[in-house]
Amino acid sequence: MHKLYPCWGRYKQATPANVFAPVWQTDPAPTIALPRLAYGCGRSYGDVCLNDGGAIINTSSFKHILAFNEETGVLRCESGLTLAEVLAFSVPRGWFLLVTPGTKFVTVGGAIANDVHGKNHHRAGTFGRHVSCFELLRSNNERLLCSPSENKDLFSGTIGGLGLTGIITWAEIQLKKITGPFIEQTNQRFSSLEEFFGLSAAADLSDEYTVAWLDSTAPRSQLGRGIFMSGNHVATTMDQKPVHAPISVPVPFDLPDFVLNPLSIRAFNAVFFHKEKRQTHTFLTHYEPFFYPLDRLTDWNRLYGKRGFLQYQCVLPTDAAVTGLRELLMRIRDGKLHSFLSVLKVFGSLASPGMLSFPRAGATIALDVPYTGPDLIKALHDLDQLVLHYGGRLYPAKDAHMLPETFRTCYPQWKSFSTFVDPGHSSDFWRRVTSFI
Amino acid sequence: MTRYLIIGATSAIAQASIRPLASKAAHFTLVAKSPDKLAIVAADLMTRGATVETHLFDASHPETIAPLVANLLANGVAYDHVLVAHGILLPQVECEQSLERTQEMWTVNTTSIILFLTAILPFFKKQRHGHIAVISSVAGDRGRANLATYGASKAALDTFLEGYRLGLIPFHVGVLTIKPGYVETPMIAHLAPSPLTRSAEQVGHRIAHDLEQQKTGTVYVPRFWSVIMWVVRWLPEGIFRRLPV
Repeated sequence: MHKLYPCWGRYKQATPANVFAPVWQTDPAPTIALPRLAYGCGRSYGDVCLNDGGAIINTSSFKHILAFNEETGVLRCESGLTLAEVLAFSVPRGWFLLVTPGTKFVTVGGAIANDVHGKNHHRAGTFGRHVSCFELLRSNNERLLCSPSENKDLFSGTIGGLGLTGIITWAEIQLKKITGPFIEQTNQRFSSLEEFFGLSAAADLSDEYTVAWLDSTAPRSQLGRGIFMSGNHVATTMDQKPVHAPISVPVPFDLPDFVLNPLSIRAFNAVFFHKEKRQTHTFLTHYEPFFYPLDRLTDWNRLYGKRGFLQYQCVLPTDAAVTGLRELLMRIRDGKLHSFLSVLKVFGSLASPGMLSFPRAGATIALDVPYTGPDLIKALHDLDQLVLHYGGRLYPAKDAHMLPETFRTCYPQWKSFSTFVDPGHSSDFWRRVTSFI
Repeated sequence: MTRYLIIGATSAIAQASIRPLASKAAHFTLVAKSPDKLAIVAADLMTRGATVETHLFDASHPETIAPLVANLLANGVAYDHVLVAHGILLPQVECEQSLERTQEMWTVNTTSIILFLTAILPFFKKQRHGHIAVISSVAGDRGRANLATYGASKAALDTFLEGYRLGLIPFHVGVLTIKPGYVETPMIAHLAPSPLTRSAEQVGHRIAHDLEQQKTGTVYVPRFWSVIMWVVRWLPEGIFRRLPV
């Protein structure tokens, strides 16, 4: 019997046949015939971190820092170290992550394997852009140093490669110099998509971090309303007292399924939108609530109850963004795909070194949707068709539903990627999207 | 500068306990069996600002204790903290099938520690300050059929530490017996998961705190184990033997 290795959304379930928990990253690869997959924090929403009937390799013991250069901010650490642990080490020394996703409870290995992105994609691109090298352990026990100049195909295949090319044992990443842990944040209400794009165009020129919370349940007349949030690192003086690092509040049990329902979600969204009383509001905040608002609630996925939830994230290219998003939002609203957390952002055009990288220039929307039954999956497939029609694509790291044809269309490079997949590695996601072979 | 002597420095609990203590004001003397693993632990502590030295020691060879202690404590080197954290858990079935394995576990868990503590005693009596902590286990609190040998190896340690602690009171040296419950380390990887299990990080933070506070006596980590073990110790045998433990 093993402890559970679930995904974050919990809509998809899997039971590994075997679990390995190597203690030292120098330990040899386990010899087992079953397909294997590394597991860090299990924060992938869908089945990229699941391996039903296969072997799970729990990398959470890989927590050593191997080296840190105080002058250049280059950190070499084992892949099981979480971004939270990186920050606990680096922030007091004046360094921050160049790219961070919306939670710090992911491992460095996971951040590379999903080529995560953050609120500063328009300035810094994805996480993989700031990885200079890493060691990849293949299932035949081969250890390969991967960098833009050495084993460069495996380097590119592993970034965003969803754990399919091998196990990342350690990695070297570039951090960013900061003068303090505080952020100057500005919140602005907007009432239409056009207004959002206007705010974004202006803010992306002047602000490091930009993102919008979108009310996807707004009445038709106010479709596309939300709150635009931008931020920059600041050095604070002694007399400024910003909100300090919060205490975490656990969600101790699964909420009953009826708690998050269309009415309550719509009500929550309305309150959240109107809470922002002023049109524009600037204030000082600690980096914790700015970057990681949900991390305060440990196990927040329990709010969705036992049925679980899915995350739908797509990107639409720049020229189709306004029209495509409007149609997407109308479909979401009409289909009653009620999400209480919808996020909208404009991606920049900085390319990622990753072969299967998701972001591209355009606008991305991400929404959490409680699982209500097979009709939901059908509705999401319909949304996928819309996304494909506008030339967009979906994010594998969050996916739990896309069909093989959709994956093939979104990532035509999947064929050359598959030549780098380690024959000893697989995942529920990969088997699902390549099931036509 | 706080000087730490860590025996069994590559164990999961030891690493989790000393990492929070790493800083520019800390010097660690790390003692363990494997030079490669010691190097990894040392590098991690050094990036966190500490100064580190390493020494090799295999607890299954108690004859190496006297020269080790002589080497470590020569030239009047004084340690503020000693943490003894090595140990092995062999399934009871394995102990019953092999006298050699039983002997090995007893040597590593009990003999080597009692000998080590005896060897450092004159130095600490002379030093007249300091703190010595030893990682024991809740398993020593009562004998169980499926943990008889391991439990006894810890129980012997606990009783020795009780006397050792009292003997050092006049010399102003504090002695702490640390009793973790189920900790998610390789030691219990073969056991079924339990809601009582905690990660090495969680336990390590508590131990680091207890070391900084120079706590003496016995502490259970997490604290709720003190209640559980109080009940376990109290239960009459007639009832205890019917429990599915």
